[in-house]
Amino acid sequence: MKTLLEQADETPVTLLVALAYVTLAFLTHPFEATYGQHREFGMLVPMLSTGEGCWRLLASTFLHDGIVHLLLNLFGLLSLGPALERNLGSVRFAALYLLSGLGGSLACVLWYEPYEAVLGGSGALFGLVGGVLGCQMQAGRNVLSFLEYDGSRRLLGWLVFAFVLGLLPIVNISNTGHAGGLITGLPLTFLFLAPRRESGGPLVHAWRVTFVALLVTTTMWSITPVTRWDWLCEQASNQPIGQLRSQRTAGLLRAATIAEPAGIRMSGIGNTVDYWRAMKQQILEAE
Amino acid sequence: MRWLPLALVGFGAALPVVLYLLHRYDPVLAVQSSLLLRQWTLLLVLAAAALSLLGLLLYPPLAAGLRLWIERTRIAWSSDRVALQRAIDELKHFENAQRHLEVARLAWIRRDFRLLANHAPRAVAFDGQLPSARYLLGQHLLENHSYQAAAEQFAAAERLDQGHAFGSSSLLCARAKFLSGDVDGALAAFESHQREYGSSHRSNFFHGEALQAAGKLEPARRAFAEAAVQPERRLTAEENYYRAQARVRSLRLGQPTATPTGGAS
Repeated sequence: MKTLLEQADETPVTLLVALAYVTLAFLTHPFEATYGQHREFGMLVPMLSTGEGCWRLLASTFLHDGIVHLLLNLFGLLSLGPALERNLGSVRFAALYLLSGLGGSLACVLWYEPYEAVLGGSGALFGLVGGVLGCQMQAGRNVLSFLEYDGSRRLLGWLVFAFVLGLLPIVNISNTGHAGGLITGLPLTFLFLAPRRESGGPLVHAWRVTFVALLVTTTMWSITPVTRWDWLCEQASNQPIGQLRSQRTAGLLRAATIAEPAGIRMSGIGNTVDYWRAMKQQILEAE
Repeated sequence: MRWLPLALVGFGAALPVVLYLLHRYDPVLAVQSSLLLRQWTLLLVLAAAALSLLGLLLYPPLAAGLRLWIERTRIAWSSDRVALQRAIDELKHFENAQRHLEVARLAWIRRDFRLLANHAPRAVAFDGQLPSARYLLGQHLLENHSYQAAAEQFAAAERLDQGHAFGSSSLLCARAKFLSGDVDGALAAFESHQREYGSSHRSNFFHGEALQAAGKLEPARRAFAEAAVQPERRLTAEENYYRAQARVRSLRLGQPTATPTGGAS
């Protein structure tokens, strides 16, 4: 087992992620990518990401929308990745990338409408930024000593700039995904991945357990969002034919109607189930 | 207070599980509960924000308490972990009073009461003649609401080193006596402290509380008024907090018949 881990630690994860970016970009035609192609290769649409579609939570972190998006994220990955990977080791770096990407996706699923699409590796990259900060917080003489260094302050400044840029309507940037990646990556590194200067007390152990629990239960909710109107409609529609008039189906439909956002009534499409069917058809058939 | 953010995050982690179990029982109930929770959370957040703003504007100890908490957190987070870790490592090789005292001192700076509780008593057990060890043990006992024992430790520190911790030992001895119910003893100790070391916003506030408890309202009003005076220099976070408390007490008790001279000497 130890040998296996040592061998795994020599895998160049940053390079593999960069290769995945480029490969998927070529598969989705970076200069003329379509919605349909992105959807096929794992674009994150909350409505499609439940149940068996949960693979999109991670797949979307490797997809990019066009050559500019790809180049920007490649630049970010290759700037931060190698040094962080050397510091943490390949296995931990891979865990950081994947879990931060997951955190970014979960934030989008929680915040966005079920039919809104998002893709890109920048949630995971913000998680890497969080990883850098987490390592610096653990390595310093105290938790705040990293603020004494110019490089760290510039990194924080860059973060603020990125979030402010995301607020502008002219650029299609998901601050939600970025924030989700950052607030997953920073505590993940601080609590688990970075070498610790001191053994944690009961509070640190409690935070570790709570963090893991939050990540697990939020992922579980994203896969089975039991209070979201589109999932409830899907569950009602997926009931066996003999059960379509059952009390359970009626309950699911009634719950979907209560959970529906106000916009449905204004859309003029009729009831909640019809609206859900129309939305889903639109997403699945869009080119 | 340290556990509050953890409790909130833990509640967030438990919520999806609870909603899932509710859904298995009744999907409509799960959705209704979720919507109700969302409304109540929003209302609570808005109410907390409004109350906090009102409190900050109208109730001085709230703003002063916030400043004190920020200052203590900043000091705790910016204290040197390397020194503490080195002190703990040295203890593993050889135990003595000085090494336990060093760990206790650094733990006190970081407000790590768990570590303080382990090492302050050990420092005193190894060498009861160390005034700093007695003082830190007194602080630990004060935090633990063991007031009589705390008063004994502060008194011992004062005996071993008069004026220990810039008179703080003597003042906290008086405070601990008051909190343990010995009001007369506390009043005598406060007067002795004032004669030896002068007064501060903190000492005037503590003295005022003891006087009020003893039923001596006019001297209490004078003490609170002294503590509430705005000095020319900027106060430390702790002094500012006690000044804010004294302002509220002055408002409740009323002003003394004679004008106070100043806050601290």
